[in-house]
Amino acid sequence: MSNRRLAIGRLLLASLLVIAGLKLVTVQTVQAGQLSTEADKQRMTRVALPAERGAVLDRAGVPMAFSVSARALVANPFLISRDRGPAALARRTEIALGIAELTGIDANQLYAALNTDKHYVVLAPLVEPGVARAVRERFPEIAEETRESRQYPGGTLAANVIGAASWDADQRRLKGLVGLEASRETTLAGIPGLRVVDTAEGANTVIPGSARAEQAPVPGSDLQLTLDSDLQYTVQQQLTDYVAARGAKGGSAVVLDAQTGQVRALANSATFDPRDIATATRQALGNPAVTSPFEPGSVNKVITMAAALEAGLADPMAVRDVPDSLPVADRVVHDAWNHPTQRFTLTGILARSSNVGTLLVARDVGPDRFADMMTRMGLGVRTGVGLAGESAGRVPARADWSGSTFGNLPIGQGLSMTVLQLAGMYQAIANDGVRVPPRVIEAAVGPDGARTVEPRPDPVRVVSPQTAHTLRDMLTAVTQAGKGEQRGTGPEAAVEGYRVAGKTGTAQQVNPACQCYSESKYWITFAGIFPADQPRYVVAIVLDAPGHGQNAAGLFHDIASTLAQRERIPVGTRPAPPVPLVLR
Amino acid sequence: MSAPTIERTRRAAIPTPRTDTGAVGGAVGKAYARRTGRRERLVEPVGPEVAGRSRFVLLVMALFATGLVTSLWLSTTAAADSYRLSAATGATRDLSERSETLRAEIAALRSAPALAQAARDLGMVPTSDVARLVAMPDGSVVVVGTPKAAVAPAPPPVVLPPALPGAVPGQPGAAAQPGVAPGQQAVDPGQPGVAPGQPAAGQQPVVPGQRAGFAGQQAATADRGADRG
Repeated sequence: MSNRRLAIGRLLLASLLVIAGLKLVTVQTVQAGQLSTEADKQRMTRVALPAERGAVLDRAGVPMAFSVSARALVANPFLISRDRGPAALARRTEIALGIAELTGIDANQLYAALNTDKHYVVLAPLVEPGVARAVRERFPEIAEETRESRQYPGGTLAANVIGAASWDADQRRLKGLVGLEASRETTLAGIPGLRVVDTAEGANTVIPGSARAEQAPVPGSDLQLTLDSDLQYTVQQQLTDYVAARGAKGGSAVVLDAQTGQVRALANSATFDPRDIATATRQALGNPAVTSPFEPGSVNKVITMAAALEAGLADPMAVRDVPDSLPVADRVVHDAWNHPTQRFTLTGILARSSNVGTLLVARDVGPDRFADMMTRMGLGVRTGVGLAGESAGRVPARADWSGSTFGNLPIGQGLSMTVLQLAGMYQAIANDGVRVPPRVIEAAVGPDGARTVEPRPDPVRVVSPQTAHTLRDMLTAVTQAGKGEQRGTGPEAAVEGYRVAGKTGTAQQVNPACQCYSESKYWITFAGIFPADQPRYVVAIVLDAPGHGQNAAGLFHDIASTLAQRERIPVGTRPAPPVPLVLR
Repeated sequence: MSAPTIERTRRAAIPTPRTDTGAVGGAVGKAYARRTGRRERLVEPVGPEVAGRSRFVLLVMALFATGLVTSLWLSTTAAADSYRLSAATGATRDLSERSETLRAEIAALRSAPALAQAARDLGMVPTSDVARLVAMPDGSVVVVGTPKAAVAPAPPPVVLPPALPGAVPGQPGAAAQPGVAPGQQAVDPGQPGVAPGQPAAGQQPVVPGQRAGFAGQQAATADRGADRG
């Protein structure tokens, strides 16, 4: 009897053992792969490792934009309500006051954020890591998230060029919004890394030692600009003050290095503070110096003169009878002031800015040579400065010219250019006839310190060195402070101790109401070379509709004077000899 | 190992007198004989061999004890070190955070707008047209330009520095006085007791590290002032 029971029991146990063994074999061998994959899926988490964004530096390496690590303070007000019950109100007040004390943020604002039933609120977007830790230790309900804070130490300094970047909550990284921060995003952003870890189910807690694959992040490259932040600041200030004092709607100014074509300063009167981009207007966010072309006016007369000198049609002292007006096709072109027919020298035509004289010279030059010179001066083509949204300006194609076109272009109407293109034209004259298209980015400096110099543009031979030299002498007469007819149009631009070459310009703006030229609104321009005998800098300025009778020569003077002091440009003791402009 | 041996020997000692009472025959005698033999066998191996083994045992015990103490000491040290490590990690983190903060502060203070503001606060005025002295080859000196006093610009600064501690924006009353030498302009009328010529002293509660940057700027501008001749 007992033997039988024992046998059955044995059999049962043995069969159980066999079943268990079979299951074991199945799980460990047949299903092993599938099961471990599923288990991995439950535990494995990919953690993104943020890459630090590169900085933007000026030419001397002074940081103009850079990143620092920061923390965002976040909370789950719903959980606070659930866990604390009736005491939640007191707790919220306590938290709001505590955080306000530690971070300096308004307590009412914090309380308002906490006093909801949301599952996720951001209490403070950018807090110093140490402060965030202190908050979290004091209030376990508050969590911190790693963020990157973009710093713009100069505020509005070169803001139109640099632009702004802000935290993108979806992509969990800094993202450029405008300016170079947006257009050079790939250079600045770097490549985020990746770490594969195991986490406890239903939580983000990483199981220690579970890190498997790890791909280190590659920090972004620094962008080194050609801008000089001190000069940029001064030019921005001077431009803003000048625009305000002259009652202009706006203005732009650009300073180029005469030899390399590098942009040393690029300023717009309308600018914004990238630290507070939310309040910036759309207009302030733009960069009109490169995006908004204008009709240049008399500064364009230099093209006619360059073509005439280059073709050997005239020399600076060649005399020409210039009447007060000249019929061109269907209309009559006048000079800006009334005068009888006078004997102008070629220099006088430029220095007195005679429309009629210029058109007479242009007739000798001919439309083809003139059109060729415009192309060589870089008009109608983007300079490729390296800034987004650059305009090419508008130059009518040679085939589309009507009879009156050639009565307009030589005096700077009927075509448009940006202030940067204007500066580029005068840079060619300053650099002995070789135009180097302007650039604003010097190099990208990688995280390993490797410098990748931006591709340099090919220089363009515009005129011969001799022509450029003669033109500079002629342009110097513009700032000549003679009496009556011997006075240039821009003596305000002169700087004592230096020879200044430049050209004033006034162009009628187009009135959108009648699609005709306005009689009251003008573009006031000035382009100049400093110093004229040993060119170091080229400055171009445009003012949008200042008060009546204003010119931009005074602003050129301010900028040139600053450059002279800052760069310790040697002083000359012999002023430029007076040149006859109009002969009796 | 040795304890049972001693115990047996002691227990065996109790009935010993009985063996001396006389000859006992048969099975009992054999039993006694066997017992005696056993006793002899048990007692016999006391000698150099036994002493060697106990030494070995003592050595093992000593080693064991040493190992125990060492491992205890090691684990204690490791625990202490882990505390030090975490403290050092915390200190490193704090310091790197501090260095980052300081770097941001330095960047803010060395930026052009902040330097300009600091110079303005010191009562400095940007010059536009300066007269210069040019030494000619024959030793004579020529004045180029017309010497004149710098005039403070009327409008307040448009670009304000971001985090300049204690910076008073503008101070137009102090700065906008044409015709006063720069050194005297810095004296705020509202601050009696500040002697002229010590414009910087106590006007700005700035940490010493920041002072140096401004001093540099001051020197640079003073140098520029010399050009005015």
